[in-house]
Amino acid sequence: MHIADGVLSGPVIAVSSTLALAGVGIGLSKVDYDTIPKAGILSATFFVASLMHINIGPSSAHLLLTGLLGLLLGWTAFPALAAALLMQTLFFGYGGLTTLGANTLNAGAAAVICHALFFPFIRKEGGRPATPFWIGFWAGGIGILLNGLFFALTLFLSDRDFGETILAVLLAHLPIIVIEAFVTGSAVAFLKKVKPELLQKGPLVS
Amino acid sequence: MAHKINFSFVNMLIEGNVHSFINRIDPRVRLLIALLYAFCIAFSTRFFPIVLAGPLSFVFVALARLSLKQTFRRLAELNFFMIFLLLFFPFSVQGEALVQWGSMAYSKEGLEKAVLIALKANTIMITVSGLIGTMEPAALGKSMQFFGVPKKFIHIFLFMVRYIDVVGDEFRRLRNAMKLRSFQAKCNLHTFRTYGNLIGMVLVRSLERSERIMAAMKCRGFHGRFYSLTNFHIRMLDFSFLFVCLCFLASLTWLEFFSL
Repeated sequence: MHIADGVLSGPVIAVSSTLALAGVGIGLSKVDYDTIPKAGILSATFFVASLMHINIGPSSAHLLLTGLLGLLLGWTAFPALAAALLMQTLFFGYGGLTTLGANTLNAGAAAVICHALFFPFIRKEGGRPATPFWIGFWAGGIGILLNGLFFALTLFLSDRDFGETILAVLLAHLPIIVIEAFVTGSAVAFLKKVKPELLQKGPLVS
Repeated sequence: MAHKINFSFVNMLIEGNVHSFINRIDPRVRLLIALLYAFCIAFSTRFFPIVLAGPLSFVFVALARLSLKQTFRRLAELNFFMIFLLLFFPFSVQGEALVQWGSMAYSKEGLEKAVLIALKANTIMITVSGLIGTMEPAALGKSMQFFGVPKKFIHIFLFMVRYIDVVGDEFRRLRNAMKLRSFQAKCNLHTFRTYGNLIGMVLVRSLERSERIMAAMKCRGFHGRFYSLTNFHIRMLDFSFLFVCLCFLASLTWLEFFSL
C-alpha cells in the first residue's frame, strides 16, 4: 500500500510530510550511537521480509509487518520505516519521492499505535503459553488494518473522487490482513520462546 | 513460483553500469535534480508538460545505461495501483459519460485525470531510476548529509543498506534448510506459522549480529562518525548538467502556467 508520485494533493503532502518529519525526529531522539546499528539491521530485516511473497489464489501479496515493527521498535519505527521506504522508492520503484512523507506517516503511525496498544501486554511475565501468539495476532492484524485506513484517509483527503478506488484497493488487500495477523502471531510466539528479553525491554535497550 | 525473494540489490548496482555518464555527475546534483523534477511533475495539472517530460526520463535511463527491462520491472508495483485507478476512478468523477452501465457512468473527465496521474507517476519513477537508481548508497548518504538530513538517520540508512544482503543471505539459508525438509509454501496455516518462525529466527540472528558489530566497531574506536574516502567536487560537467536540467524544468513550469 504505497502511494505513488502525482496522486496526492499539495496540502496533503505538506501536512503529512511535516507530521512524518516530527515522527522521525521523535524516533531519532530515542536512539543513540550504541543502538543505531541495531535499528539499521532491524530495518534491513523488515526490508528483506517485505520482499517475501505469499500466494493468494492467482495473485500474490507481500508482507508489510507494520504491527511487528511497531511492537518491537515503538517510535523508532518512524526512522526505520523512512529509511526502508527511501530505499524502496529509489532502488526498487515502490512508493514515490514526493509521497515519502505520507507513506512514512501512514505506516509509522500504525506502528506506534500498535506499540502503545500491545507492548504493555507482551512485556508481562507468565500467562498461558498461547497468549503471546494472540497478542501478536491482534498486533499484526490491527497494524496493517490501521496502515490501510491511514492510506485510505490520505487519498480521500487529497481527492474525494478516490472513494471507490480506495475501496477496491482495500478489498484486494483484505486477505493480507489475515495472513499478516497469523505470521506476526507466530513470530511473536517464537520470539517469546527463544528470546523473551527482546519483548520485555524492546530490542533497542542494550 | 510460490515464493520469491529477490535480493538483486548488489547485482543491480553492478548491472547498472558504474562507468555510465550519469555516474560521473556529482551525486548531490543528481539528488537535487531528481527532487525538483519529482515535485515539478507531481503537481502538474496539464498533459503537455508531462508528454514532454516522458521522453526525457528515458534519456536519463539511457545515460545511466539501465536496460529497459530493469526500468520496467521497477514500474510494476506502481502500476498495480494505477490499474485500480483507471478502472474505478472515472466512475466517481462527474462528467460526459463514455460508457453507461446502469446508473454508473465511466466519465471522460475521470479517465483523463486517471491517465494524467498514471503518466505522472511513471514519468517520475523512470526519471528517479535513471538519476539515482545506479548511485552507490554511500554516495547517496553523503549527499543527504550535504542537504541537512540528520546524521543519525543517515547512519540508520547506511547500516540498513550494508546489511540488506547479509540479512538476505540469512533468509536464503533458512529457506534452503526449510526446502531440504520438504517445506512447500501454500496458502494455509502451517505456511503462515512457518513464515512467522522464519521471520522470528532472522530477527534473533540479526540482533545478535548487530551486537557483535557494535562491539567490533567500538574496538576500532567508533564514536558516531563515518569517514568517507571520496570527496565530492563540483566540476564544469556538473554545472553544465545542472544548468541544462534546470532550463528544462523551467520551461516545463512555464508550459504549465502559460500554455493553452
